[in-house]
Amino acid sequence: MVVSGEVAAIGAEGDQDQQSAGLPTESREWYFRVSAEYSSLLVGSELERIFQYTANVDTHAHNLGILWMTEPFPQDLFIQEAVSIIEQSDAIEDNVATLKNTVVRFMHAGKSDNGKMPRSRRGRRRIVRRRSAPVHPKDQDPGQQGGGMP
Amino acid sequence: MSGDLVPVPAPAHDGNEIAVILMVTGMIEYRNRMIATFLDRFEQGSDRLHQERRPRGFKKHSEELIRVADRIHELAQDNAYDVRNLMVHFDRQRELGDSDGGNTGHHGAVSYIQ
Repeated sequence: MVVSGEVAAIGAEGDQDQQSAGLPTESREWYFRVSAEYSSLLVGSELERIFQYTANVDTHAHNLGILWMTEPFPQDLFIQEAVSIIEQSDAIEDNVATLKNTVVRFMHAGKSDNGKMPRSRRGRRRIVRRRSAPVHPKDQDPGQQGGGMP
Repeated sequence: MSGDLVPVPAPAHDGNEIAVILMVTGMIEYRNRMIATFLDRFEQGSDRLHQERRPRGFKKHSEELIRVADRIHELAQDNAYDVRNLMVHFDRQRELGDSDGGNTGHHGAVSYIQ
């Protein structure tokens, strides 16, 4: 939510600048600047977290190896370390999914702002008007009818 | 002392088990290095996206970031999968040890050699 507030603030500032300069309110430049700043805000914190999780997994894996060789075998500690690795790996997956969603959102937003038609309209088939009216089968040349083998 | 029964703690792991743990921890460390590399690449790609002004470039960088994110996701998933398998292996060995009178399998068992 903090991030969206930041975006709103950046957007308002951009509007003011552009209005004062006499430029259109929604320019492409402005959009890409805001979206990139938005992504860098999100990506920065998410990346830090993933780096941290990765370092934690490394430590737990190292501990796992040591515990495996320890006599007597510390079973509870071993399970604890293994569960930690699974949890941290799941956390990495969640954070990466957040990153990916952020990028996908920008990609779609960028498509609709790059001067082309929105995605929903771009895919529609163009209606091509026929130049001549269709000929009724009755009016066709008898030689052309049938079409099958004699 | 030949002929006497001397209780000797059984070896905690045989060669296979040591190989298993070394392989799993080694692979986790290797994948972590890969994840760190991909995170660096993601960071650089994010910077390029930040500087990009052309829609085509924006699309290209976005798609690359998505590919990198997918790769990190797969690596983390593989790490979790390997550790889960290790736990299953561990449980199975423990069950085998219990069912065999506690003389085989993992720790705590005592073997007698002459």
